[in-house]
Amino acid sequence: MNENFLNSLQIMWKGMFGIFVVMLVILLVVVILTKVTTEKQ
Amino acid sequence: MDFAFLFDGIMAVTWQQLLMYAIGGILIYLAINKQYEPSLLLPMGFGAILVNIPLSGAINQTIEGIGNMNGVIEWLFNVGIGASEALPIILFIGIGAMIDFGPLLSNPKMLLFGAAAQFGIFFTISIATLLGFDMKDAASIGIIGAADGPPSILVSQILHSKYIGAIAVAAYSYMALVPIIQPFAIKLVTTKKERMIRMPYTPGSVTKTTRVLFPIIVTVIAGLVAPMSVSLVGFLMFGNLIRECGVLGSLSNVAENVLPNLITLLLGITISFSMRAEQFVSLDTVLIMCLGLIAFVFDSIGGVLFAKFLNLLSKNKINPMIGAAGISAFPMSARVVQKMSLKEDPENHILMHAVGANVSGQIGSVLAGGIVLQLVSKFL
Repeated sequence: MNENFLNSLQIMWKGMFGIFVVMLVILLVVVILTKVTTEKQ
Repeated sequence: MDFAFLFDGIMAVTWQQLLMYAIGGILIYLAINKQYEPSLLLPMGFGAILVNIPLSGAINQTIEGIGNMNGVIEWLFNVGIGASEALPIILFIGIGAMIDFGPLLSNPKMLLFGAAAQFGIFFTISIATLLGFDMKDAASIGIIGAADGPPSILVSQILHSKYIGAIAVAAYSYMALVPIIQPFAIKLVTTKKERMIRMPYTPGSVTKTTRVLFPIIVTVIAGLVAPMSVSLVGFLMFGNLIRECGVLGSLSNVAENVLPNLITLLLGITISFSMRAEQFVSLDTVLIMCLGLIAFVFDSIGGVLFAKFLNLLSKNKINPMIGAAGISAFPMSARVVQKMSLKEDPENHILMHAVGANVSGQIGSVLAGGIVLQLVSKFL
């Protein structure tokens, strides 16, 4: 099997996982931030 | 009298250059007559003609008896893109200043679609490797799926891909074709019943503090996880901070209007440097155009399938078309999804959800660019 292809599969799952992790963290921060700042108001 | 010098240029024209004139003409036609991304395709089309004129003074030449002569387009490319990728990065200040993240902040779960709809990038990288492209070129081609010009240009330049011209043409052409590509891709993986799912819009309130802190927080989080995305994410969020801070009205106005126009004007013609016939006319260019289409289609499919997956877990059903709006082509993708929704059910308004997913795609695509650079560097 093409070595680059096998590497690309690793890039695929790690890349998608990485993007989801970052987006999830941003989502959590936004939820907390919205809650905190709305309560303050 | 010897007038042979008048024919030097004509005699030096190759068939590949003639083909590039035709391609330049097609790009100009698409820009003017079809209004497909005219601000980029027109300068690129004109530039394609300019750099392919034999002995063109727009690119560096060595003239007999004179020596080296510098061409302005080659200089623009070396300084504006080659040296630091400055032009695409600076353009992101303007894009950031134009984006209102309000619909996303009031419905933050839309952020997940900005992640899911990057699937086409990674899928295309794999397909490109199967077709024989090396890892650098495959990654550069995959980034066409970012559905945004600047990340494609930036990644392919950082990875020193020789296909930067074809990649830029593919990225901008398919962005313009989103209204044709996305309905096709969405219909492939959804039923009419799914496309008719209604989603009530009950936005939460967004405070100014949240709006101001959001760009800073995104930059820090994205930077810590994917440091190579910092230039793109950072400049995107810098533009947004200028917009949201409320004390830089005139700067915000320049960032939102003048700056992107100026950079876009130069970016299109600068990219045309990589559309020289000897570099552009090849079978690989055709393959790249096909791979770009695959990237856009699988971005949309990735987003839609993720929405369908969430529907399995949730009581409140999501219209799966919202997932397709998670690509970065803003605001076109959101409009396409809204139009499709109204076609199925004239009273089903999902625009604001789609806009939320669409702006999250802006973050997702630049993030994907940084992550791809980081991961690919480990395999080189």
